[in-house]
Amino acid sequence: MLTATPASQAGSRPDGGFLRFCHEALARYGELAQGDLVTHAAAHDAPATDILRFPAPATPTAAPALFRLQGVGKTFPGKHGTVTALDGIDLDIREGEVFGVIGRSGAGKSTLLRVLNLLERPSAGSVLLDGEELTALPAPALRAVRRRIGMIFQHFNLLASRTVADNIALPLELAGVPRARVSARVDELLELVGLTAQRDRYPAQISGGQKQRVGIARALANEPRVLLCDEATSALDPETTQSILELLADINRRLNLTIVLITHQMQVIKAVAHRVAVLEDGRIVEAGDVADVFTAPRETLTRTLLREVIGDDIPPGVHERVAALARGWGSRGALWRLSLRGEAVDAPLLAELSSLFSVRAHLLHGYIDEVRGVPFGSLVAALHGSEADLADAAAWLTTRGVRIEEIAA
Amino acid sequence: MSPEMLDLLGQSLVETLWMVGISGLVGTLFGLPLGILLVITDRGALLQNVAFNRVLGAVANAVRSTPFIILLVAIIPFTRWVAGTSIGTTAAIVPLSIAATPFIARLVEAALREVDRGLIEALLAMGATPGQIVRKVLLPEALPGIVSALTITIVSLIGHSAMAGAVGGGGLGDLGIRYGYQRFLPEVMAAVVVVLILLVQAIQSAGDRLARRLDHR
Repeated sequence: MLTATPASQAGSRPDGGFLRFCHEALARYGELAQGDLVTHAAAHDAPATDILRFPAPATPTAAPALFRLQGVGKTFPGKHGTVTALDGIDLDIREGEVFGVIGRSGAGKSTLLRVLNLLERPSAGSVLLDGEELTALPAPALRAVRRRIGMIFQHFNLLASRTVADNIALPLELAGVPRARVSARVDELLELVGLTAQRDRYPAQISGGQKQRVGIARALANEPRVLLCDEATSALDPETTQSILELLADINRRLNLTIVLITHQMQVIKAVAHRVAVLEDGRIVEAGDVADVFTAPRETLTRTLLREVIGDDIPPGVHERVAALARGWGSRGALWRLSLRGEAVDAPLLAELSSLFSVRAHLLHGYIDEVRGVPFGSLVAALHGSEADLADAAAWLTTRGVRIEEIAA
Repeated sequence: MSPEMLDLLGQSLVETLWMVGISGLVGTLFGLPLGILLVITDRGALLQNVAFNRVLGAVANAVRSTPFIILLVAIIPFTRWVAGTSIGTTAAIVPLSIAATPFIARLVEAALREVDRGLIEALLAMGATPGQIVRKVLLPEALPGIVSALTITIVSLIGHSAMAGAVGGGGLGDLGIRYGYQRFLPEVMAAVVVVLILLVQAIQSAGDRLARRLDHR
């Protein structure tokens, strides 16, 4: 992340498209005294508006839906009337994707995940797995379906009375796999999660990260169609979280295994998910490709959650200075947040802008990040120019795929 | 102490061990499944059956609230039907077993409730049947607790077996009462108490050691 870096420092950074762009912008405008800045006071009365949405992302090859939830609701009887945990959830989870569900505690994430294997039976709606209605299945058929749905847990839920190898063997025993094959499969799985050396240890003798690896190996034992992850990294330190997420991403790629994960940590979504649904009060308030949601969050909750991983705020010091400048600008300025993604990140936009229009851009704040290989960034710039020039500049920027928001100074 | 008295002490010890051993075994045979049933038929549990659970709990409480000395004589007809006699060591095993059963059931219930609900959820997610959950998770995970429960039961049965003298059951407690108290032989009383203390110590520490060895938490 890069924040209002002086030109001298920006120039010394390792070069990259965006950094080069910042560097150019800063070199051009960094020397201007703050007193030069003028802003359009009237523009600040209006709330931040989207001038243009990002162009639609290239549609990913539409894989068939593995899970399809339609109108799923869940209510629990509570002390003060019924509590609604889920309300009207419509959701498709595609084969081979990592689907993330994020929300605060109490949003219904856990219930939503448990609806997928019917650990929680929905009060309304239907749950289809491969087109099969799970809620209609009799108990034995449901057990057979559950064998093909792996699940891992925040607190691992390993049997303390069994060794690592025996924990992994458990689902195979339950499925009635012959002993000889169990042992071979367990060795395979231990290898996959990198725990061969720990095979005869008990869960109490290994670390949290290793426990979750055992949990993953156990969940994969019966070659499931899908892996459900219930806050799988929430009890782990950041470093271990990273290694578990890498393992999950690796499993997703190598086995083409569909993964559904719930979390309250946006970095988990950022690290592994392809698509994400934001859950609030039992409803999906926002859903889409992770790159879209990260670069153009629509909901306040999403923005709040995103702030965890990307500093979306103008630092207070910068904001103060800008506010002071704005007073002197009159109608010849504007404060914009420019949201960029994909190729726009690589282009020297501000430099081009000032050569095409008589508009000067003062870079105030910015960052760049990458999610699922899509670079995205946000710049806060003060622009100085006539109203007509600013309008032309805005129109030009939107054609370059930049989303512009007016910010109140 | 005379050799005859030592003989008597040894014989009483054997009687006590016999009564406690068999009634502990029978009590476990019935108490363990009842303890499991108390847990899995409870509200919100695997095989919820609240009515059955309530009745079972009430019966267990009723037996446990009956003083053992009263239970001993109250069920004499039943004892005669089961053991063929209402007096003697074997006859004493019947009421001891009946007293041990709900005791074990409640202690096993408590041990099983200690098993993390998350484990049961994990097994359900794997597609386990209720029977598999009991065999693969509940019992193995609660085993250290169950061993502790059985240790407590055996110690408690040793105490109860002292009352077996009332039906001619013999054993160390009976020896202490008849010789130590009624015949004013304080050294016999002291010997009985010392043997009982050693016996209880040995059983308790053996039980603790076993529970510790089984516990991998």
